[in-house]
Amino acid sequence: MFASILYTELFKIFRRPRTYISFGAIAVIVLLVQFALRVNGTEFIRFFTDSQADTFEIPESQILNGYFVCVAILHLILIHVPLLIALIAGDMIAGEAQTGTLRMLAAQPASRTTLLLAKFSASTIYVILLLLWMALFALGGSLLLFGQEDLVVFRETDLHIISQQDVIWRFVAAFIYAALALTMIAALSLLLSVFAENALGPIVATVCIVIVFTILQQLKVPVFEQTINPWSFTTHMLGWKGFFYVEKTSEGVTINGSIENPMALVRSGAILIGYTLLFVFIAERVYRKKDILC
Amino acid sequence: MLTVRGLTKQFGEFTAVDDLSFNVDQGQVYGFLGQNGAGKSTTIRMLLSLIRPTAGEINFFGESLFTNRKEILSQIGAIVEKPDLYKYLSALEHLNLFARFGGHRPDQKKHLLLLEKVGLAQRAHSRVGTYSQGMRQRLALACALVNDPSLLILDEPTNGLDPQGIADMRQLIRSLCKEQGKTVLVSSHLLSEIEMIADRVLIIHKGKKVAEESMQSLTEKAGQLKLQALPEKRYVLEAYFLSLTSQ
Repeated sequence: MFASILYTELFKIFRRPRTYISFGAIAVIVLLVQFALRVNGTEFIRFFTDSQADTFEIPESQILNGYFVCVAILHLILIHVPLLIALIAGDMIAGEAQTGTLRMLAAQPASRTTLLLAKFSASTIYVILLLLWMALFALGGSLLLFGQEDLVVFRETDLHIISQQDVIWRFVAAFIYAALALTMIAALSLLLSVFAENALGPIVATVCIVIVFTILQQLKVPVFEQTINPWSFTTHMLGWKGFFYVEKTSEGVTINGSIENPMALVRSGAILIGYTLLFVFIAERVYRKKDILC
Repeated sequence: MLTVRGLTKQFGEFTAVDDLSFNVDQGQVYGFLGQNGAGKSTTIRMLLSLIRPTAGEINFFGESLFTNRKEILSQIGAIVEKPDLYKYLSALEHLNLFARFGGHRPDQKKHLLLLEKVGLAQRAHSRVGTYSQGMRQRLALACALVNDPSLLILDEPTNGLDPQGIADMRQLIRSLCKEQGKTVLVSSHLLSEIEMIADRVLIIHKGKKVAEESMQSLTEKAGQLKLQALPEKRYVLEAYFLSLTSQ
């Protein structure tokens, strides 16, 4: 029964023209960033290298490769993708309540728990497909346009040079991590969707929550740094960057296959999974007992 | 087939359905009547487990809805109020979708026959967004029938239908009952329609049952209420309904 309902939920998602707005938006944004870096990539890189001029001797043309462009794209757009996820996941229950189709579904033999879990699973599959699409354009397209070289990752006071032989698994891991983070957003939207009877509410609420916690995180003041931020999901959503921070020897040589702080990544991943399970659990509890009046 | 005992639903201080009890026998067309806000839709939603009763029991086929929801709902087809469908899907896709929800594999031939029965075969592949309200109503009935239920619960099934559509719906409900032995619980504000198709009627007012009668007995009671002077039989139910609900 679950597989059958999951199929119908996916069928509905991918028969809706609105779904393809997200795919189109990602393709356009990635292509625009690639175009901009193709035309003005040198100036973009100089922005980072100027602050580290004393220690930096790699030619800019060598830095501007497919891997670098992909990391730049992920930095620029992953923070905005929650909106695209909320558009679908926030609509899952509230959108159907608004159009009146929810009562037809809820009067079917499948339990509400099965229906909710199928909707969550469909949202997760949508997240994964959206990220695969992004990977196709951001990584595949950038490699085609800019070629392959070692990846240079800039940090505030440091830089990491990752051998091109050591980089693909990091992208795979980063995209899997991003899938975890965005699945958590889908679960949040679904939870908010359970309380609403209008699709716009949970979509806007999801985006507002992400914005509020992002601002608290960017303020970097002790009162939030010591209380909210360590547990805020927006802090951990950006954990994918950790896959591009590598360990170095005492001579400053990058160690292939290493991650600077693997335990932090594991902790962040666990927190994201914890939030996801919590949101889905609460959504199921509420939806199972909810009177469907609309 | 359906037994309801002491069904009550309260929304805060407001009692929408108050200690309602009734029986629907197999093979009957059971009319469910009440003014706007009388509690018809709330009752139907409780029968379909869309809302939880505050008190009372609902038994279908001798089993409690609260403990055998899945088995019971797999034998029920329903239209609840205005049928809202997926505008971006076709009629055939709707039937596939509801067949899957009922745990069945979609059967295109069977679904096309069903669409022919409700007069939508010509538009089987058109998106529902292009349908009139009457066509959506017909499709909603097809969706209710797609898993071959033994009980149909139809809330205002003639809403939005033109006179021909209403006549077709009436004919279809009668034939489902007489030829296929299905039981139909139908609510409507069109009293004359209920009078033409129902074997038995339940009238509720302000959430409470005010009458449950066979059509034959109702006609006799109407006579006792000195309504026999009415010009045509089709007004009997209307007159009886008004005499009960205007008190």
